Amino acid sequence: MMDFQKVKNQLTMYTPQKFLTAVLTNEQDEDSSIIFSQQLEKQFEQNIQYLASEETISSEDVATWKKSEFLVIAQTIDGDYIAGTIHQTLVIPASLYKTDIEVFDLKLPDFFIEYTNNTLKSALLPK
Amino acid sequence: MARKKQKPPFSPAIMLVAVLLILVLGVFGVQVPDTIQEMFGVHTQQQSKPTTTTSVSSTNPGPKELGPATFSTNELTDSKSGWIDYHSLDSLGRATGAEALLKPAMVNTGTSANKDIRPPGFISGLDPTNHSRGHLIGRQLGGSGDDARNLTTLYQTPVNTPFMTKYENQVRQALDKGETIRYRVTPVYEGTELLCKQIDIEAKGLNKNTTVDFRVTILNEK
Repeated sequence: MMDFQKVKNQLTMYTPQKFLTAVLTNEQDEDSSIIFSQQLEKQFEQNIQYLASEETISSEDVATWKKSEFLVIAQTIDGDYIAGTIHQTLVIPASLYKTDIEVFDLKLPDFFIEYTNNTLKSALLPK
Repeated sequence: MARKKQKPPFSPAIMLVAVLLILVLGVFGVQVPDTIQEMFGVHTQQQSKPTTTTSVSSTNPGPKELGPATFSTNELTDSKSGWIDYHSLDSLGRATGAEALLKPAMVNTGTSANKDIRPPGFISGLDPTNHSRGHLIGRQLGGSGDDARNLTTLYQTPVNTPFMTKYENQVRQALDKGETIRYRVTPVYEGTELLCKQIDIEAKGLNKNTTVDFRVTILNEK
């Protein structure tokens, strides 16, 4: 498992993009339950269109989040998305159901530190 | 009152040739404009094409909707509580199918795919394999990620998400409205291939006014 404390210490200034860039300089575990990628944003936005319904995330929701530098940075073993804003981390189910989104008041580095310490409560994240 | 019979605008010979021409063109897939067809009193119906979506993949043709579900009357028997029945693994360790009677209480009771289960053919990593341990009965519908009988190797994008998710979401919507749904997911393998060629999904609501009644095939291709 990646050392997220070390990644956090490398960051002089935090944004989701800077965090992702820092993470990607480290080698990812081949069999990890969470895979970080720069390529997820496009796929995420295509899926918003494809799965569009009253219950799912809309482009307007994303536009609102983007005011806080929202960025999709990882995908879990179940196809769920992990995204960050300046202040929060969002775990978004593959279904894109709004009611199932888990919002953590943690910046991405702290979120992953807690995740690796098994101190996060989540119905979506891989155990 | 009897309707006055209108005189045809063309001679019978011209009418006959035109009708034959429209029908022959129709056989070869050439659609003559409706206004011309109406002029000669014929209507050739365009062959209905399966619903496909190509916007999320350059090669996978997308789900093929094949009409209503094919459950027998017996298979549509309701019961007080829902259930999931995973079929046995085959001799190659491949998941062979799952049946369920889904109830609202089952929503979001499923579990994440267990990292220790590696369905046949599964290769780790998002790129370039793009493999996922795909739930037959989706997690949001109560499917287990800890039972190898419910996991088969699927391409994460676009097969698992968004193609399968689209139909799971339709079922989820109905469950959220209090419906009961009969559900079946079957991976189809070619010979001893470890990855299934396609996933077949059938769902039918048991309520009278249900909006869920479909049979769909999704190719397991990138």
